[in-house]
Amino acid sequence: MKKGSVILGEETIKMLPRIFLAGFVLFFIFLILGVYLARDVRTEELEHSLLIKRLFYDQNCFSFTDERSYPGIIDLNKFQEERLEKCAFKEKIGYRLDLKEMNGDSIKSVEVNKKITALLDFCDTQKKNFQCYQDRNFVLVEEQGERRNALLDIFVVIRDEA
Amino acid sequence: MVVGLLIALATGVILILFTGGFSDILSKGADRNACRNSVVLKAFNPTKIGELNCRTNYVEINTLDQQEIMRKVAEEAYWCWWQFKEGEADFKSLGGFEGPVWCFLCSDIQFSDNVKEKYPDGIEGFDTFLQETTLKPKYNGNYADYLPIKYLSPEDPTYLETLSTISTEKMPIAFAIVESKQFAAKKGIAYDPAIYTSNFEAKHYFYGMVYGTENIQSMCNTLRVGEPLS
Repeated sequence: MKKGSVILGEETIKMLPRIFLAGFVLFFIFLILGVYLARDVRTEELEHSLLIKRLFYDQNCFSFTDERSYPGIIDLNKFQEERLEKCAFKEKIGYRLDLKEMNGDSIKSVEVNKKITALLDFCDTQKKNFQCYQDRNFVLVEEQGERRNALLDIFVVIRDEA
Repeated sequence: MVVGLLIALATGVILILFTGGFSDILSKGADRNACRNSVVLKAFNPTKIGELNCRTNYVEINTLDQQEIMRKVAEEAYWCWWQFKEGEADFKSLGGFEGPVWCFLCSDIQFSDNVKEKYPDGIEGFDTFLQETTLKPKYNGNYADYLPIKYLSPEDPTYLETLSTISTEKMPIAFAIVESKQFAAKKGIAYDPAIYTSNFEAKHYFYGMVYGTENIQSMCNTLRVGEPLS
């Protein structure tokens, strides 16, 4: 038997545990990567927060604007469903804005994406595939050149991704 | 020549008038079929493949005709029960089932202000409508023969009450699965008609429908909604 073939045979046998070890390590790398990539990322909280910021800060929404936009001041002329639908709309998000006097009397209420806000009635269900959020903000209302204190209740429903 | 033009014009008008409604019916039918197929695949196929693919229908009823309102609500209930395979599927294997009462919101029916004003106390006589209106050709019988519309009476569990009023405030309809041990305690659920005449103890799960906001709020521990029906 030639010397070279003996060496090759020994090396092949030595390779087996190495291949097994490498396979074992690779399996775990892919397993960890798989778990990481397939994890459930919950973005509803973030989306809710972005929506509120957009409503307050975007001059195309309801904030009062002259040379600049005033985020805490609501221009009552801009507080309309059609306008808000253009300014902040997403298929899986619905929201209701209740603008109230400080004593609780209603000034105006608008609802965007009624197919989703219809779920507000079921927010108390223990387990559901949609999330509900509620915020109360102190604001100023600008109406015919005059400003007064008011409350803005924001109800948001976000349907989970399938 | 003139006759040809007139026929072409009439055809055009008919197409414009009916295509929208027709395509709407087709697409809704496709979505409902997809839901039923997903239920069947998940429940009866040994490999349990796929996810539940059901949608929620958001409807606003504008008509003031009482019969038409009842027909629309009954149709929504029919499709809900139909797409969940009339409660025959083994939902234990559906995944995402978290007891004791799992619900799927099939339809969220709202009414226009005109309807609310005309019928502030709701619409009575829905039970009579369901008992007298045939479901042919979809089913050989009346709505009442097909749909779960009977509740266990809260006062007397041996007596069955029938869904009789449509609330014009809002009338959501949900499909429900109930763990058998919860059966007696859940009296806002209209169970599958077959259940009342069968052996309760042999069953692990009961299937039915939940009508109305209050019942869904109080009965469903898990509520799933789908994307809006196209």
